Order: sequence, then C-alpha cells, then structure tokens
Amino acid sequence: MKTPLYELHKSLGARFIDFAGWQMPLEYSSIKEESLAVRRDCGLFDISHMGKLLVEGREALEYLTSRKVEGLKKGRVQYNLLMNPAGGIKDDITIYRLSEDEFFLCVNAANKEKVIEWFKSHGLRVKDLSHELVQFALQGPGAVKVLSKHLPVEDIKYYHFKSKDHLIVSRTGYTGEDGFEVYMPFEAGMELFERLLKECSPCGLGARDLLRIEAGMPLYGHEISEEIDPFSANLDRYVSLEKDFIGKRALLERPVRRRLFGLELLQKGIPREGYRLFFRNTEIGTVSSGTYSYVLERGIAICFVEPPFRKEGLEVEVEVRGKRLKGRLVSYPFLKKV
Amino acid sequence: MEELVVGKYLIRRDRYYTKDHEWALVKGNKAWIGVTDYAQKELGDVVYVDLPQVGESYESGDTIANIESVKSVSPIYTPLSGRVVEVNELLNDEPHLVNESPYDDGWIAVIELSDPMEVEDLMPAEDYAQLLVEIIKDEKGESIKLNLPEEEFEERVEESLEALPEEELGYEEKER
Repeated sequence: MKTPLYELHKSLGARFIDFAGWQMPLEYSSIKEESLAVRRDCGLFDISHMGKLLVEGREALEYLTSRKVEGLKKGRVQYNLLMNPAGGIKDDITIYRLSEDEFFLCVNAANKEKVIEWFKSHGLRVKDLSHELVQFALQGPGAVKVLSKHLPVEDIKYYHFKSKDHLIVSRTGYTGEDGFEVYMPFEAGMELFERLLKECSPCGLGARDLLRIEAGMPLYGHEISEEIDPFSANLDRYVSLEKDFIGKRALLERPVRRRLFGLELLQKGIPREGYRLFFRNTEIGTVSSGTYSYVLERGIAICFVEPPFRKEGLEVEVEVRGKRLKGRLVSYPFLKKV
Repeated sequence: MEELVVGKYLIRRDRYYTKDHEWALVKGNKAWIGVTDYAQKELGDVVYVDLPQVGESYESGDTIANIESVKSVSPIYTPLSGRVVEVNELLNDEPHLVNESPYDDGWIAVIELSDPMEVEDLMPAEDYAQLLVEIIKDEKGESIKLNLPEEEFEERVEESLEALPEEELGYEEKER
C-alpha cells in the first residue's frame, strides 16, 4: 500500500522500506541529518500508514484497555494499552476523547485489522477512517513556530488536541520532542504537508526509530506484543489496577522474568535486537531495540533484563558477532525534552 | 580519473568488483579492498568499521570486516584470498570516509594475494555497471536506460563523459 504522499516522497528522493505492508520512506537525506534536524529544529514525518478509528462505547473500551479511560477529558489524548485475556498486549494506542461516548483512536498499522475485529466482537461500534485521512507528525523544538503559521496550535497543551470538521491536531509525538500530530482529509493534508516542507526537513522511518529509542518509547513487535505484559515492558504507569479489565487477573499472576531497562555501550559498536547481555559469565538479558545515538555519540539499546540485574550503572557485556563489548545499564529515556 | 556513472553511482575503471559491491584494486601481488559507491549509499552514514587484524588470512568470500550504520551491520567479503598486510586505521576515528571517499580514503584493507588467478573470477567495471543497471531496475523499480550496444559501451561512455553534461550521459535515471 502507498500513502497519498508516496509520489511526493519519491520526488524528494526517498529510499523506501516495506512497513506493515506499506511502502514508507526510510530516509531522504540520511538518518543522521534527519534525526539531528528533529533534535535541533524540526522534522516532518508522513505517518499516514497508522490506523485511524472512530469508536463508540466507553464501557467496552474501558474493559479492553489497561488504563482508565473514564477520567480522560474531552479534548485530551491518552496513551493506553489494549490487553489480551492472557495479560499480554494486543496493541498500544492513543485515545482522543471527542465526546462522552465517542473516541478517535490511533492504532498500529500492523494491528489495525486485528483491533477492529477485537472491538467488534466486544460490542464497540467502529468506523475505519484510515483511508480517508492523511496523518503527519511535525516534531522538534521548532515545530510550534512552523505549524502555528498555518494552524492555531500555540495554545494546545501537551497531550491535548483541537478538532474541527475532519481536522485533528494534537500535541503528541514519538520522538521525545515537542511537536504535533495532524490528521486531515487528503487534499488539504497534502497541500499543508508540501507547504511545511519549505520550512522543515522530511524525515523517514529510520530517523523515527532512532528518535523513539532515544526517547525510550516502545515499538509494537519489539518491546511489546501479545506475549509481553505491561510490567515486563516497564509500562506500569499505564496500568490502572483500580479498574477491572480483560486479562487483569492473568496479568497479576504472571511472573516478570525480564523487564525493560536501558543500555549504553562504552565501546564502539551498535547493540541490535537479539544481542545477548552478560554480567560476568551469566546471561542476564537481550536487546529488544538498539541504535546509534548521534546526540550521545554512542550505541544505545532498550533491553529485557532479569530484575535482580536492573541496576543503574551496572557494568555488563554485550555479545556482538562473537565478541564481548563493554556496556553500562541505565534507566531510560536516554534523551527527554518534553 | 576514469569513471563510469550509473544513475547516481560512480564506478572506477581501474579495479575489479564483486556482486556484493566490494572492489579490489590489484597492484603486483597486493590488492586494496573496499566497498563501492553503490554500497556506501545503500549503507547510509557509516558509524563504525570493524577492521580485520594485520596478519590474518582469509579465503575469497570470507568476512574480512563489518560496516555498521544505524540501519544495519553489513559484512564485507574479501574479493580475493590472502593475508592482511595493512588496514586503514583512519577508519577507526573517521568511519565516514567510507561514505565520502569509498574508492580512495575509505579503503578497508590491503591483502597479499595467495592466488592471483582469482582476479579472473571478479567483474571488470563494465560488468559491474551492467549489474547496477539491473539492480536499479529490479529493486528500485526505476528504469535506467542503457541505450548503447555492449561493444560500443566503453568508447561511448568515455566520449560522453568528456563531451556531455551529466544528464546526457548514456545512463539516465529519471526518477530521482
């Protein structure tokens, strides 16, 4: 599948990657330049592949999510987890409260069909808007200045949104920077995207992955999945134990064998998914996502680590192509500005 | 400098190539080894180069080095068999030389050849240029037109390099 902005990306010289069945820009100039543009000024990401759902039925939504939806006020956005009966995570989503009973949800592209089926089987009314809206993210310290020339966004607070007709703008993102996510009908959205390009660099999924790792944000299929529970994924703060939800009991009975923690490499190298962590000669964990941070100038990773070893500053080793490289366990986010 | 241009990729005519986008520049019983312009562009910004040890011996096709970029780690296979006599220590501090100068300052290692006849298994520049044309067509869905018959290829490219601005070279890449 291609987003409505595909031809534009092509004309900008993007390299593409298949992501959940979508031909998405991986990079335009380079991951280095794009990630630094977001940290220093701003960058523009086409994320139209994400699933966009209009959902009705608060009670059913409450039962299917780990975090209380009840307290979410109209005009606010919430990060939440869709749980499965075994205590694992069906998807991680953002919920926009439109009215008492109506919600706009942004779900992962790869999980969209599964989530729609899941919602319907639990009595929620679902309308799929994914193919009617473009979605892009403008991220970085300069984002507010650039976007406010086109839309009245200065007064939107973090994790709040404004909506009008078929336009939604929220102060949210996946980079750890200030910034916005915009949902718009095709034509108007494409026009605005092109205009924004005059003031900020286009960024691909390569930079997006690097930035979200620096910000310590999970990616479905890596840090979270149907098999991984929120406690193992270090997402306790998104679990409201005072409410009942599907899989809650199973979740409370599951042992946490490994739990996410951060790693900085002290030697040259890049920790990558699946690499093993050792303390002396004991295997203590594995990397779930790793990259090279141009800001920190070192390899960094999010890792599943056995709880007794989750200690700030613990010196460990990472196995890279048969060699052991020195690293240090740290809490994440590695970088955080908002 | 004698160069071929395929799309946005440069190829040097003074050396041999592999299908995995390494090059070997043979001088006497030694060969300088590195990666091609196409390879460095595919890799993206090189963050580290894991160099071999001087004195180690490798058979052609063995992994002699690893290049790390944010996107991936890519093994570099030596095009020829032999013993490493020198490595490009500069890459330890300036790995980006692989991107900036893949055919010169970004060389990876020098090997003393154990079987110079192996050179015959490698591709000359013209064959590698043809390979790139195919790759760009197949993988990127972009057609670069090679509008010259094979036998005229060398002569015409030289002529066009001298006589024509870049966009009128025998190879054209319209989509980028």
